[in-house]
Amino acid sequence: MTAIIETRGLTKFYGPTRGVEDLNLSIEPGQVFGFLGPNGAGKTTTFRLLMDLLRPTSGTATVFGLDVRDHSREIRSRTGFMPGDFALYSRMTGEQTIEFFAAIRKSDAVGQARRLAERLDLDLGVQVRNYSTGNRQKLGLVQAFMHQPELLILDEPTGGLDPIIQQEFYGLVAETVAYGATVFLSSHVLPEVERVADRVAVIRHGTLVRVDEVGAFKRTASRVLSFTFAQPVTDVEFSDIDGVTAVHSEGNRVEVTTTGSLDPIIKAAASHEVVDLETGEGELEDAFLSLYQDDET
Amino acid sequence: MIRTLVGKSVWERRKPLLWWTIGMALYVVLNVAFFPSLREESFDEIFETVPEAMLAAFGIQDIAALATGVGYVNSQLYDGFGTILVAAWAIAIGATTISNEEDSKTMDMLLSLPVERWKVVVDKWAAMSGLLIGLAASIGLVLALSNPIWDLQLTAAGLLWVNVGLALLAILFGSLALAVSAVTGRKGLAIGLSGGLMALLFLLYGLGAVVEALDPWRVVSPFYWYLNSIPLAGDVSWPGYAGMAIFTLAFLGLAVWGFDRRDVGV
Repeated sequence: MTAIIETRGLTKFYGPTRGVEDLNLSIEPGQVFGFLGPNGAGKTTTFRLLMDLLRPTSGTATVFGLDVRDHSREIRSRTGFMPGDFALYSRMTGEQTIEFFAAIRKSDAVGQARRLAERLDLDLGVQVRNYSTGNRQKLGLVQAFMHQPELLILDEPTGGLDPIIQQEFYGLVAETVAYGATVFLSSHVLPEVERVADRVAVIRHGTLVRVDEVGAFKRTASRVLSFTFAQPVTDVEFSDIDGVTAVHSEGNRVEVTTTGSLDPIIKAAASHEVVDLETGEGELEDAFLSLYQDDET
Repeated sequence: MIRTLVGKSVWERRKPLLWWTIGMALYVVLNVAFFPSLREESFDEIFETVPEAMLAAFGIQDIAALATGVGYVNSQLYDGFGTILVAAWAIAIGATTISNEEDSKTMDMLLSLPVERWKVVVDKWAAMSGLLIGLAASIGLVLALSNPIWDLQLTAAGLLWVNVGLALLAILFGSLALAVSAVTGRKGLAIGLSGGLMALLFLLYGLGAVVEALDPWRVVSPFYWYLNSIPLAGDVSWPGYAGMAIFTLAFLGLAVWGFDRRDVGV
């Protein structure tokens, strides 16, 4: 199957400053692909390269198998884009905005846009400059989804939305994927990516750190075992066990963090009287943070 | 109105257009309303203490001609301040029509729609030209209405061609500013460079009439191409008008090329 988005060695420098370097991404159709990384890691640069707003220093990118430079107009007609930290025309009302965008798209999407606005609880009769951050964000989503594009590129789509509207957004993403579209979204809200994405790419300082299924991230996420013993335990060296990354002991309590198998830890602990055992679920956040911690050491 | 990029760009400046039209109309009416009483006085007496070079810089080259409607309107409006004002607005539009959208980040949204970059430049240029033609036409209309009231004795052909020239000259400087901002993305540079060049070329045209050393250089000034033949009297320099149009198209081409090749909004 042809990838919807493919980048090869995609590199962008702003003068001497690195935006992204040697980015190799492949996004399959029908996926929700999450893009994770802290601010300034290169997520927005990647999106802007795909939308032909920036020109790469080297490397290539294709969307729908088409070169992003040579076929930009066709790509953009089939894509819905919500830039990060975006702005709309402040003197236009919401209604004027969608009418203008639909006219430029030569698309009969105004009706669909009105339905989306109603669903997101957005009043289209208001001038954009009088919208709150959340309402502006909603209008950004409406214009991205309204023409039922094959691909959605959404840069931090849920910032500023309240939890109920966030639920609507997740529903919208699910429906969009159900009709066959692909969604590429960035976030630094980790539970969000965990919740909606099939695959995740983690980017840091402009380079990809890891690309994997969400499940695989979870499996390799660190787990925390908190033992409470009957007496203080001093003669078990948990830190020697394979996969253990941290050990904290305080009185009768020992907290063991591991990315490996739990079995040797349980067996080692079983040589003493265990009063209580709690385990923390491996969160993507931990996997994510451990990637950054690797970087710092 | 807001269904096309041209329409949207005009719509965004509908209020400035209104105010510029009102302002220029007042300027025109105030000037021509004094014409009958000034004609009674002797212009020689009024201007006798003013150095010739100073008068030339303000577009007054022949004091005797001021006693005619054509000479008076030409010096008060077209050969001087009025043209500079209209061209200044043109520079303000040209320098900001693209860069404002980049600065406010609406350009990212606009360019995520299926529209080519060359079309963004051409549509915004067309909107700017439409606004300037509208302003020039309004000035022409105000003068046409004033003509019988204050006995200016302006001809229809003169009024038509002087305002066609005014629009051409303004669009020329607006296109220069558009080109600088499209190539560099910097509106301050676009305003400074275009405004500075306009002032220089205007002084060259005005002072060249009285300073002999500058005289051979007057022909490089678009103000010379536009005004030297006195289009308000019906005498148009066709090569001059063609020159303004050709340079305008060249600046438009430069703007398209410059905007297409660079990163947007960085």
